[in-house]
Amino acid sequence: MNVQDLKQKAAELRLHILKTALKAGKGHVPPAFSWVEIGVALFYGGYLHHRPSEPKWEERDRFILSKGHGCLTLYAILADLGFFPKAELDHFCGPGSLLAGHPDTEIPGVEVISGSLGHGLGVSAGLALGAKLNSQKWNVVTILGDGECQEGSVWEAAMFASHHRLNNLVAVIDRNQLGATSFTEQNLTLEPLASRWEAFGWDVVTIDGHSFEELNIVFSDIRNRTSLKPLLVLAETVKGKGVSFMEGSVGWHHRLPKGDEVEEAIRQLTTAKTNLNSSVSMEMVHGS
Amino acid sequence: MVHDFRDAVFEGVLQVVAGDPRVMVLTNDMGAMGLSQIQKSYPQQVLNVGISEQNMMSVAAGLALSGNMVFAYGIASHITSRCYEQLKLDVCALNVPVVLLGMGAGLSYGVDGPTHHSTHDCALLQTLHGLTIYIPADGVATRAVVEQAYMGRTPAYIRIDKDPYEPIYTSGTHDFGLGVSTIQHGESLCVVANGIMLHRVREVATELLQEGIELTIVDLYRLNPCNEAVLLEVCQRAQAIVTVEEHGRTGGIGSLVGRLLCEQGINIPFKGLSLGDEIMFGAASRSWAHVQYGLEKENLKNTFRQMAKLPIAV
Repeated sequence: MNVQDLKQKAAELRLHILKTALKAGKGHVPPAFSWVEIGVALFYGGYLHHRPSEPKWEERDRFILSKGHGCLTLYAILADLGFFPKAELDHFCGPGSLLAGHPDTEIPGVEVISGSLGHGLGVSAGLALGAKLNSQKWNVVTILGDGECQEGSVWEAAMFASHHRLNNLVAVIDRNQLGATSFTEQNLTLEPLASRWEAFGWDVVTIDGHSFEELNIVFSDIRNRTSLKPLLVLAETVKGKGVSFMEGSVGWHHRLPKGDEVEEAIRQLTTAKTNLNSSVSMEMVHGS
Repeated sequence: MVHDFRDAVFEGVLQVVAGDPRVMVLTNDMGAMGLSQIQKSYPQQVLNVGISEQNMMSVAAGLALSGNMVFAYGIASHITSRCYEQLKLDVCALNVPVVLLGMGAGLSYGVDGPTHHSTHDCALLQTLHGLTIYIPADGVATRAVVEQAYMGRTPAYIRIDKDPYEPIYTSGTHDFGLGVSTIQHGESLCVVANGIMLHRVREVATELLQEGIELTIVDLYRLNPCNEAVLLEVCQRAQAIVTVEEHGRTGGIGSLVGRLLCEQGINIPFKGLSLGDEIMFGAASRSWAHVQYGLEKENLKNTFRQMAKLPIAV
């Protein structure tokens, strides 16, 4: 997909995510919105090898959503790609349904259980080491929350990954600045986050996590890395991206829009999607 | 000849490492002579992950998900409780072949203080669905359960004692797939034990024989999944039952047998002997703690005498 297509896909998925959560009356929408472009770039940009019809395909790249509460984005992507029927989204968090509020391995395309923070990077490091030991070519990509980096186990795994030169491991931090109830810098300082990861022996690239141009640059390199260090992509993002009153706002972790907010959120996301379509049409006109 | 549990466990592990290049042994910077020998012969298959139990279990799960089988070695109390959530979510929920080798069962490290007492490990781990718990009593059993765990390819925990003991089993005479073994038959009283307590129970049984008290001794070396069919037969034949374990009161053999008796409506005298659930402060040596909790030889004799004479309730 080109950048314009990726933007359209992101806009389309944001609407799906919101509607899924509204129908269920449940879900972490803002933490899902902050990594939509990251997920879209990975899954639709050709950077993750996967087969929706064969989720356990041996040569697939292993994708780990360590910040499991952001699963609405993953569910929307997996459903859209055909890992499971889109109709499952209508039953999100329903009694006995496939899709719970945090992901588990019953869901096609999900590799581990996540939702309790601080597990994903360690498992990813084990997977990456296993791939190297067994001469497998697949990569491991894991998405961490920034607040998740307050878990000590993340740093145990960070040390392990650099010690073992796991350059087949890419961790992306969704740096949206917010934890569940407050800004990370107010409750437990993470900064200087980039240099902390560098000090732990990782290559660190800081990018705008909503820019497909920047995501494409950093992800296009992950299959042919010459550095022996694992790669940390510090993606600066906005929690609740796409809906103005959610964006970067304390209190919008798992709160859902209500009353007039519902209509306004849908209007903003629909407008964004429509504008993208219009700009494509305009480009086609100019192009012709 | 006495058996050193550490030597036995690593003899077993060496055998599987030698036969299967996808077997990995992780340690949280805990050493053992047997482990060093494996590392010397198979350096690619041994990994010291540093002092990081949480990461050790997550990494073990990741290695297992990528097609390896993992033995993870460390002090029993540390590799079971520090990383409980990693065991629950990364290992057991995903049902991957990770075998914990927990060194220092019960009060093996009693004088080292409460941080090193492993007296709640079985209670914790019994809540983890799909995790097999082995508590071998000698070197033969230890080697056998390592092989069982390897063949099982599912999460497991092997609780290893530090002190060496005389052998109970002769190699090849018992099928360790059964999970339970009646090592002695007697009509007066049935005692269910495992690990090092089995040795003391045998000693006491020999002495009580002179008083005409004959014990049935059952080695419940696999706590989970418990072979309830065999244990039920044992309970149904018994006049009275005593369980003996070096573990807290909750979540060990006593809890298991007591529940079985109640659920099956077997109304016979029952007593569970164990340590307490409380933290033991100070240097809780085995000899000291066993006196405190009625697990010392003379305590056991008195309890067994008393229980053997109790009438069955009608």
